[in-house]
Amino acid sequence: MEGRPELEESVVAVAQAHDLDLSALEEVAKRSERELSDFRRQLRLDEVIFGQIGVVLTGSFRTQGGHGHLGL
Amino acid sequence: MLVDGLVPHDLITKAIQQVNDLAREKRYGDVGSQGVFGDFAIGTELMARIGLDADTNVNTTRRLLTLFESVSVFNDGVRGRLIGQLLERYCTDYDPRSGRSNIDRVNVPRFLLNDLIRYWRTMAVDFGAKQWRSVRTDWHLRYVKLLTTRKVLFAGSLMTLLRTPDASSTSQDERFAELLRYLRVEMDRTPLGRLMAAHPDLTDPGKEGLAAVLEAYERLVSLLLVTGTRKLLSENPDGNPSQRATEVQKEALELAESNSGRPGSGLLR
Repeated sequence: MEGRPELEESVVAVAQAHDLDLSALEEVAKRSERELSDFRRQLRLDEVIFGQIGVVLTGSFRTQGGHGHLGL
Repeated sequence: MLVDGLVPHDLITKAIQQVNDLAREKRYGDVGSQGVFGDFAIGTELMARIGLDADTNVNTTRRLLTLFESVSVFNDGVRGRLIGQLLERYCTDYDPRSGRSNIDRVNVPRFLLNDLIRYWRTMAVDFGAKQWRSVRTDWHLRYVKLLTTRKVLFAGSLMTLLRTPDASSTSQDERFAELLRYLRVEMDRTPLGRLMAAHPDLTDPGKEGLAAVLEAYERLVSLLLVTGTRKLLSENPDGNPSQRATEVQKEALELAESNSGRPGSGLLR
């Protein structure tokens, strides 16, 4: 879902147990989600023609755009 | 880009071109100078060449990153099938079909564990090699990334493997299936999420250490969100950086190294 914070439950649980503010990580999570959603929409490859090809992003790649911190 | 099976060459080049065009359009920037990213990888190469001379640095990097931190943006099934095959290959010692008369009880999938550790050591050694050979001046940013995002990738993945649950079934087939199911689910989680999942299993100093890591990570990300920080981090610290660059570089390094002086600090050292 676009814009939904994607911090995992385990991360949120640690933050709550130790009273940590994770607003920056939440912001990056939202950006990552938007970025992934846009990339999928804008990549115009036909799934039938390119059926044996998959495209993945890694954190290292997306760190270049400032969105790789979560490894999403 | 992952290629599953024999694909006509013109489709490979068209797909690469479209992906890289879109990445440029979105200003993702340089994908690195080592030829690891922005290119295609053959699934069978990643799966069948684990170890020995043919397992090049590029092959290892692509395999481990596909497993532990990739996210699919086209044809999810290709990534899913490859990850399934990689895990089966890594866990073959526990496969009843392997022909071994004495199948190991699974505590930790050691073949995969050793490859993960090797990859972490490779990243650390390659950082030193790049620093020695490179004329680029961005070692500060690369060092900060090594100590944070790269280290979380390693530590989170290590945690997944060390926390492999004891299989409950008495059937070897079912135990093997349980192992693969557990690892398959873990591969879709984020490294940070996998690392923090260890919290309930730790003693108080360990819990504090984990919280210190998360706090430092949050503060570093907060710093990186400020426009211009990356550029400042890339200014040559050995040259004549601006005063602001010096301040930012000092702060980023302190945050990246901050877990070394906190309770439970051994966690990520």
